[in-house]
Amino acid sequence: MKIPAIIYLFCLCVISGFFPFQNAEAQNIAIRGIISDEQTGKPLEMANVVLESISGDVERGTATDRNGLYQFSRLSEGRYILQASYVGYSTFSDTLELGRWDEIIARSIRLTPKDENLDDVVVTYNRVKQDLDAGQQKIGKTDLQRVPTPAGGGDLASYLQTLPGVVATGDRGGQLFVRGGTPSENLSLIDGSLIYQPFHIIGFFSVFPEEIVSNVDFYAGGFGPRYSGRTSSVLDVRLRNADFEKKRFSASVSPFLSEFFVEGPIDEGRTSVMVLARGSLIEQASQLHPDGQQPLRFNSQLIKLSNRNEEGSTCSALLLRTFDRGKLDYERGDTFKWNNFVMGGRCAVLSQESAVSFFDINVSLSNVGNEMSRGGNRERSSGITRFSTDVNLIHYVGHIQLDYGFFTNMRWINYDFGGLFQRVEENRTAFITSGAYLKASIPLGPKIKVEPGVSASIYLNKFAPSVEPRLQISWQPREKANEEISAAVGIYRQPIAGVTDLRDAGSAFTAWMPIPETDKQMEAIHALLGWRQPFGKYLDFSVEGYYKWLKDVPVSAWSTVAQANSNLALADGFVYGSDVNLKFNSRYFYSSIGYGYSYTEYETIQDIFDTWYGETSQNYNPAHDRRHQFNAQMGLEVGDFKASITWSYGSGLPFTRPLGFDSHIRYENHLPDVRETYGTPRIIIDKPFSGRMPDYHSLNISLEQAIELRNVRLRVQGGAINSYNQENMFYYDIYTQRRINQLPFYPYISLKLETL
Amino acid sequence: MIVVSKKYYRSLFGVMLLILTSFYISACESSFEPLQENGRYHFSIFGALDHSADTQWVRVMPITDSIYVDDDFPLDAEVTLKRLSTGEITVMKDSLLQYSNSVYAWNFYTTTPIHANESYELNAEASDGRLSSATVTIPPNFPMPTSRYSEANENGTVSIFDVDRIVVAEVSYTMILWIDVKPPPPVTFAISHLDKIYPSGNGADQFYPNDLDELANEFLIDKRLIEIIDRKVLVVSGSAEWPDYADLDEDEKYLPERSTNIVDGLGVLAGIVSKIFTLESCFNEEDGLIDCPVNE
Repeated sequence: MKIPAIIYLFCLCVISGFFPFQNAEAQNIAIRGIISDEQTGKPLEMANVVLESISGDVERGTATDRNGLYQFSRLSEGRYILQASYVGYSTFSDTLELGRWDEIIARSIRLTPKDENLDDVVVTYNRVKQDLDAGQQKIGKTDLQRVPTPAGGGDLASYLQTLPGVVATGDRGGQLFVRGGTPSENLSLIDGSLIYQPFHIIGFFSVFPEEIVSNVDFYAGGFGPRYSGRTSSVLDVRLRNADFEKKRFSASVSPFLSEFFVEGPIDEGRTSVMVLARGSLIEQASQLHPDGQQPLRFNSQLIKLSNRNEEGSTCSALLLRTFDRGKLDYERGDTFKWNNFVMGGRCAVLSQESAVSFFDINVSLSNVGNEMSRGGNRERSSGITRFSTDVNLIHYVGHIQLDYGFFTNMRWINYDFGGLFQRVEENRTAFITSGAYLKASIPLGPKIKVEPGVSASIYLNKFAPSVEPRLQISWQPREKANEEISAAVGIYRQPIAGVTDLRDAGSAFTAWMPIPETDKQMEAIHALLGWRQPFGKYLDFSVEGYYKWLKDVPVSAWSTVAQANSNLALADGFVYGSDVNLKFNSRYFYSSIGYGYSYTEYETIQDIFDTWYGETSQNYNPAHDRRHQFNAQMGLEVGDFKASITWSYGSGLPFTRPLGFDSHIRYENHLPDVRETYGTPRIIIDKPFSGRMPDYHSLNISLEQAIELRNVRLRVQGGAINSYNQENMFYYDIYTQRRINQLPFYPYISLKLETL
Repeated sequence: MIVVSKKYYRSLFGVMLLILTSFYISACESSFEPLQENGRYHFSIFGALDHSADTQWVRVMPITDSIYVDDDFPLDAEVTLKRLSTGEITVMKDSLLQYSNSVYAWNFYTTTPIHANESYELNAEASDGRLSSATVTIPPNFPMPTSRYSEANENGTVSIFDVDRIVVAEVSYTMILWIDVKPPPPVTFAISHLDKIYPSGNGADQFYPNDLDELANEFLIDKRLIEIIDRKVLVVSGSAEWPDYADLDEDEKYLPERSTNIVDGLGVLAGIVSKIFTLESCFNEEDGLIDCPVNE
């Protein structure tokens, strides 16, 4: 680990026979291009591209990658027929003449969507074959639409909570735990720009509503070297471009949320813009509910500008701002606030002549501010700003695809904990990280693909250089992309931690800071093994097992003093479990059943343990250790009518279950005067997190009818959250014996108007 | 053109309805026990039996379900004090004291004399028989310490004789802080000298009150603006039950099983002999500073 990262990476490049700018294929002819949607410019992943001889024999065939990129290399001169097809789009066909002196032919293709009503068979996004790595899920707009929120549309936050392995603290707080990791160990990207807290304080909503999402790569673990700096999961969200051809708008209102969205061309066919504004209404609307006002508020605004050229390259600029504020304990608790600001630019370019086939460049500025106040006074605050640039390139060497890139980012961190974490003295810091990654996709015959890779980072004046090797392997026994056994293993490190006082389960205050111990980063090793298998025309089955070793995770130190005042300690641990999914998709009916089992255990060594327990270390299950999770979701779509029900179950989360309380009077130096001194409140516990909260389960239902009125469509949705009014506990204040429940039975009607 | 068989539609809708109904029927309330069953600690007891005091005060509280209790918190305890040498039992009287808004605690008191060199047993018993108890031995009596002190310079010497274990050695200053033209109300602040006690040649243990700088630091005020109007010295001899905090860090001091002598309960009950006197300047006929006469 002491080898400087760049040297290590350079050695890897040499070993793999690759140097970025050499042109080893000058004697061969290559065809490359990007397959995209004609109207939106969306790159089409897994589109089939076939090169036939003029006599009709198939010479080559391939599928596009996540950028819509295809490439045929080492072609001879002659005439060929190039065909591109994608489910739901008209097939493209063209004749190509490759001359003796040609080296690289760039041919990007825009496919035109078919009119669904004229087609007997409409295949949904879910039935498109997906080339997935271990731990990966691809989420599209259709997926989001099938888990309706109480605001008349889908949202990524609601969808993610239906996945086994993803644990939410409840319907407020905006915290997601993935396979035993904490929220701050998740990496969230929006068009390549980092967003620190993408989930709103009301758990159904995020900054990713269905209107703007093109596709999402969600890695619950085992992710490749392109992603670094986080140890748990990756949520890589690509926003769609605004429509290049046509103006569209939508507006919706519900008791939870109002939303306005508009998009359209600025320079038709080349430049377009979309604007999205959302604001919560639950604070106002809940005054009509028998359970009283819910003091929760959020809003967000997003603008995205997109530009494309004939060659298939696109550039976009993004501006996003969010604000969340609320009390998690409605009656008397602390007030939490956070706000995000993201400004980013991205260009994805199909290279016309270089040996590099494709590259994208991202520049972004991300900021999050986080605050907790009590009685109007700010008690704790934390903020982090990151400026980042990265370049990602794709290069083919024969059949081997090389993904590599370079990144540099600068972080500014400030925190004021008001004495919460006493071991943290520094309250302002900044550091620079630079690094590079390389991943090679090596097909071993038509069935096996091996993807070794490495990510290397250097931290100026902060941590030792980090080299993180990773490996992904997949085996498609019948050469079908959706029938696969895959495995992944890798090392992941994280230099900054988002520390939450997890004894206080209702806390939404995250303090961002470098890992407190000098020269140590949080570390995780992931090992995954998965199997995906379709059964017949409609049924898809997947199962994945995982094991994670964790090291140096910052946790609150244990104490019996009954107040939020603690040191930090480091914990090691492990997580293991498995996720099982069964999906049924037909023309009118769809269903998904998921079960996740997970076991998380931390081991921590703290000075106090020797006195407390007579041994130096303690093992425990942390507050997010949800052992069993089950989600069932069903939907019916007939014409303009939709019905959906979602049932979620989660076994109880650990909480600190005390024997009781007393007030402790100290005899140190002074005489104890019980008439004058109350003492220090003390919680009498055997061990933190020894109890379990009750199981959670909830049923959400929704019915939707679309009505077409001239050029617009009105969607009327009615439904209910927690429709059988289960008293699900959000958290329990052990100090005051107060139980705070999640949302009760909550009926709603939402209206959404959109252009056809 | 969408063509749907009515039969297909009905059967799917029926399945969904059936599932929905089963969820409603299965909705139930799950039990939740926020507290662990506590058969180990019955009462929390804090205080000291002081041979020198007219009234003994001891905090006796059941282990509670929440961090604070209100004034309607029921007391289910009888607290008795037994002198082991004679078997004499005294029932202590209860008193609910308020410490701040919504913060209350039960304390028990008795005016029964506490004898030095004697052992006592305190029992706190609930009506269902749950019992916590503590046995303490009162240390031997000791003579009133002597002092020589200059009020003009605010320094001097306190000499303590014949004490095996000094557990408190402090000077409590009552003073006026002249931060305004109008005289503010007096404030009282105690400074411990426990860690600065040194043996002297005459067999006494001595400490040296010289606290004006420390008071100025404490109140962030120039020491010339501090007018000390009273100085009380408290010296306490403690029994073996008095907790020893040496080598413990902050969190360790609060551990339930650490430094307790309560059987089936929590806390500390210590036996003490205390001496309190006023620190003042005493002069001989030549206006020379001398030890002040001892007044028991």
